[in-house]
Amino acid sequence: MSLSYLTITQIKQGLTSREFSCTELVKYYLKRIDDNKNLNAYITVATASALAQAQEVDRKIKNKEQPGALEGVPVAIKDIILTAGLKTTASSKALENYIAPYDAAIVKKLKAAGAVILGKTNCDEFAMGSSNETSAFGPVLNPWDKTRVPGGSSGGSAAAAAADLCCFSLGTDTGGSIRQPAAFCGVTGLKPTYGLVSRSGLVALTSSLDQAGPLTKTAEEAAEVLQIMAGPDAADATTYPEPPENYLEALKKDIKGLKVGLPKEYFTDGLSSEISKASKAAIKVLESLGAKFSEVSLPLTQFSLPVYYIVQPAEVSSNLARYDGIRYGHSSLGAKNLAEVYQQSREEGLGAEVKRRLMIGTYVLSSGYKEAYYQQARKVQKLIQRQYQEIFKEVDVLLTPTTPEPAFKLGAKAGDPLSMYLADIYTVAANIAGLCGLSIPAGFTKEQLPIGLQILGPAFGEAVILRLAHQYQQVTDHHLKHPKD
Amino acid sequence: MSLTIKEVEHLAFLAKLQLTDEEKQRYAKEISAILAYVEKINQVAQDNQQLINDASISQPAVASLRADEVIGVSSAEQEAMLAQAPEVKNNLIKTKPVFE
Repeated sequence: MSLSYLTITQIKQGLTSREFSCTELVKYYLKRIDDNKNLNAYITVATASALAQAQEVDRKIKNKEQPGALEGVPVAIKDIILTAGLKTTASSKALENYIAPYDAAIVKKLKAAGAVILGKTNCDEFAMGSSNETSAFGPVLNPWDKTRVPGGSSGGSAAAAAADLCCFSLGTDTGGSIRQPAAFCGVTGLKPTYGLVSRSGLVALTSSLDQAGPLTKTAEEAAEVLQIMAGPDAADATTYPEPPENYLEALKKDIKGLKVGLPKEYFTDGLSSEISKASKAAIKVLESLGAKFSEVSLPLTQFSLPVYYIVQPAEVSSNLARYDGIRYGHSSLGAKNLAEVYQQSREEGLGAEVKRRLMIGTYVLSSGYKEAYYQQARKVQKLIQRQYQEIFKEVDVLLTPTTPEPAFKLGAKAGDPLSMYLADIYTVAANIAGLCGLSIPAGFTKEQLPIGLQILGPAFGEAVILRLAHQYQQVTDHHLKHPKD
Repeated sequence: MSLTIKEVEHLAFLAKLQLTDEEKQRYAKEISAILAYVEKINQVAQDNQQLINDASISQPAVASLRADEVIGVSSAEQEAMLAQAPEVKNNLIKTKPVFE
């Protein structure tokens, strides 16, 4: 049986029916990773521990022990998520040799479900970026066109999922960092509602926006993984106290009569004509499945990105204060006094994009500017939240492109930070407004670059956005296409 | 909002970063451009003054707090944490003096 591009269900069935062993499966992925080293999708490949975990899975299956929900399924984890005993670098020199003493809550959950950890994926440094070019360990290449970016910040996770270097991967999304690379790499990427998934063990960026989520080949698999990841956690006081609903059950219903809004502010001149065409084709498909479309207006859309680039750097400037060379991470050897330990360790350990955001954040929070920038941004954020809440009284979900253009060339936006930020223009609203969002493959450009479509749902509306995506994937095959090796 | 080099130096001091002269020039330009963009939020204020004044910043709901007692950490975890520190002496993390 071919082990190529297996879904979670196919892996579980193959293992329990003993068509292949977990050891064979893990060896397959390890070879895939090695053969595709040039993509630079992984920072750490956990060869020894993955094979040991695989052996344990094979033993369990042989002894007919009860398998976990993800038993033997190999996963790649973004290097911003803590894994005990395995390096977590956040793609930064500041944490180049850091080994966490504990697993993130979501890692604990995946392990308890039987998943096998293949390694840690490359990302933008401290998850700040939209192209995976700010990583201190080199950029990740897009498997569909190696002269182009995979997107960011979860570029490594998206490339790994797209190129079959894992069954699925985990990423994090603060302003679009799961959805945008998912769109660029032709995979399904889900940003759960803030509070649905625990942030305990995530290297903190923006405490009020960060969320971890899955990157998978299908919406069905995203639902399977979300089922394991979601739920309250005593170690994260911002998690929603109720147990998650049954996402897999929810997928099965059809979408007849589902009300889909098309926000006109997302379909303007800045959008690539090919993405616009693909969106129209997708709308036709969804209409044939019974969905009801209407044009809606979200006039505050244009303010989501400026709000984000005030709030995000502000929180980052606070959260990254801990990288001071004292308790862990890079510490400057030449420092003569305490002030130099801080200043030099940070100067040596942190990259340009991180430093830029630290200073923007410091500025918007500083005395004399805090009211005009940070507090004003928070007020505008409230208005944006309310606008989306009102819209979701009229429609069930919103459909938008995920990005204004397909994957751009490596280096194309390197000299212009602002143009890089604009890559997130369609994704940030979900984070700012406290919504859930999913990007699914919806076609290809003439140059065979993936096009992603975004489904936005209200807070805790994962069941409905996954259902729409799943039904779409039952009658289309964009998500089944794979890049050539 | 155009940042001067002196302002960039002040931000670097607050953010505990030691920038080179080249960096100061570059960041002054880049950050000024970004600030000019984010200042767009003031347009909202003009259009929605009433709403802005009403849009009070709500505090997040306080989750139930746990009891105020020490949970502690195993000695294995303690060792793992100390192993990450750059300088350790007598099971304590060693740093440069705070007061010279």
